[in-house]
Amino acid sequence: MPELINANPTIYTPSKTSHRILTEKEEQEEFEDIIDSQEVFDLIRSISDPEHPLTLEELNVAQLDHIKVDDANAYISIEFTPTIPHCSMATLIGLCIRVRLLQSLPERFKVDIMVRKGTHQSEQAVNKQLNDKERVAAALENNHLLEVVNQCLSTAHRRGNARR
Amino acid sequence: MTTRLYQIAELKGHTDRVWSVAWSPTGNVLASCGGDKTIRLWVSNSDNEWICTNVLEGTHKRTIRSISWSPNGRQLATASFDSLVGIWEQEEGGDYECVATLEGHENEAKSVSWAKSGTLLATCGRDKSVWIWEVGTDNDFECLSVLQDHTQDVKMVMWHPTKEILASASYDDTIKIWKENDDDWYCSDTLEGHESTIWAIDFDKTGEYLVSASDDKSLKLWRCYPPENREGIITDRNEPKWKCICTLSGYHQRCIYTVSWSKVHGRIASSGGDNTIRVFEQEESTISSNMTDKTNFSMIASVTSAHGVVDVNCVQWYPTEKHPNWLATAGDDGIVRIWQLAED
Repeated sequence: MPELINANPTIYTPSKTSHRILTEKEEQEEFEDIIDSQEVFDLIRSISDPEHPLTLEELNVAQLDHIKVDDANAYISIEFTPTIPHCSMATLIGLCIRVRLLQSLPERFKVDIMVRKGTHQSEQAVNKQLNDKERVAAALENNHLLEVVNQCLSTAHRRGNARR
Repeated sequence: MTTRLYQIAELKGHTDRVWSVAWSPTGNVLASCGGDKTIRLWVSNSDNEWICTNVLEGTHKRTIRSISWSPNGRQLATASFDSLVGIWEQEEGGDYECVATLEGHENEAKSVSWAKSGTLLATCGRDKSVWIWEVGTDNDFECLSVLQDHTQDVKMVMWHPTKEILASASYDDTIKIWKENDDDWYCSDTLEGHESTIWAIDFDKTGEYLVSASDDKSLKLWRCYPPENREGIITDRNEPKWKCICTLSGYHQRCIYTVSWSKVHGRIASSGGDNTIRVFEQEESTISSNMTDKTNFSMIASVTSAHGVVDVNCVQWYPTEKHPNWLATAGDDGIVRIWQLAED
């Protein structure tokens, strides 16, 4: 087995699953769902870490407080926290978050994904790459990389619920 | 009197994001390419209907990022994420055939530009290199030089409108100018000033000015000062010095992916991640024989949501006097649109 980059990560207890109480208006079919930070968090919290059988929420990589959503202006900013400052998986984790949101959110949203300030030694380089649409498009045409991303995303649908 | 852009055609056919559009030198054909790995050619008929006359496919295995016509309009060059550069030629029956593929880039080729003389081709890519190719007879392309001065991906290459001088724009936040001396290509100047990736560049019709579009949400205009210039700008090694004379910021709200400088009327169009096309014109009070650091451009027209809620990847002014106010755009919605700038 290859050496792990972070062999002993701190594990956090997931917050409660969000059980939204739908208002009568929200239950009507024609109601257009407004996206908020809880919804975005639910979409990404159960993505698996590339090197541990744990979710981004369990590793505190994804945190609700670090997601900002401006629905009216269709803008989302997400900061994620690598488990260690020299984590070489940071770009891959960011790519997984981006792909998950590309697949799940309405097209109108513009999303910036960044490493939380001060949590990675190559913060700027990682941020630049993650927000370069050409680099992302090319990465998604790389079958090997896509396979790894899809593996990490295979648990994403759980939205914080226990393993099934 | 107000100036505005209105849409005159919507060209549907691509099944994925359209990355680039290019007018043929006469403006008779518009070529487009993108994520569906095809090149489409569009022509308007006598009823002003736009028809897709050709779909060129089969050669590239990944996204086709960029497209450039040869100056005689007989050939097309394409740059693809599959690392190859394709050369396409029209056969007698009207179909296009891929007559050569240029191998050399290690991974994604991102831009291709055909020199106005027709004898040189430039390409660039994620491998940080710029390649200069000589166009031989019988579709024989020989690599003359591999230029590795950029420290990151090279996003775009663009030839000077009359001379064999090349400009390249990079993820390393700089633009480089390349020249030839006795078969030796070298970097004659590095243009610094943008704070993030430079996605696109275009020369004005004289080639003495350059406009650049960046992820820092600004456009910059650069002027070429020859040695011993009257303005007293210091030059080095007897090379001309490029200097930023004007920065247009506060307009685009997100990354600017594309810019086009009309060779006919001098207006500049740009667009990008804020879905908005903007057209800039030099302010009359600042027009003199040369543009200087007093030169200012103001926005005269804009269209928000030009491709709905998605990014605009490319804008291109029509190349000739026939329809100088036409502008073609390519979007993440897979659609190519043609706009007209009109005063009403």
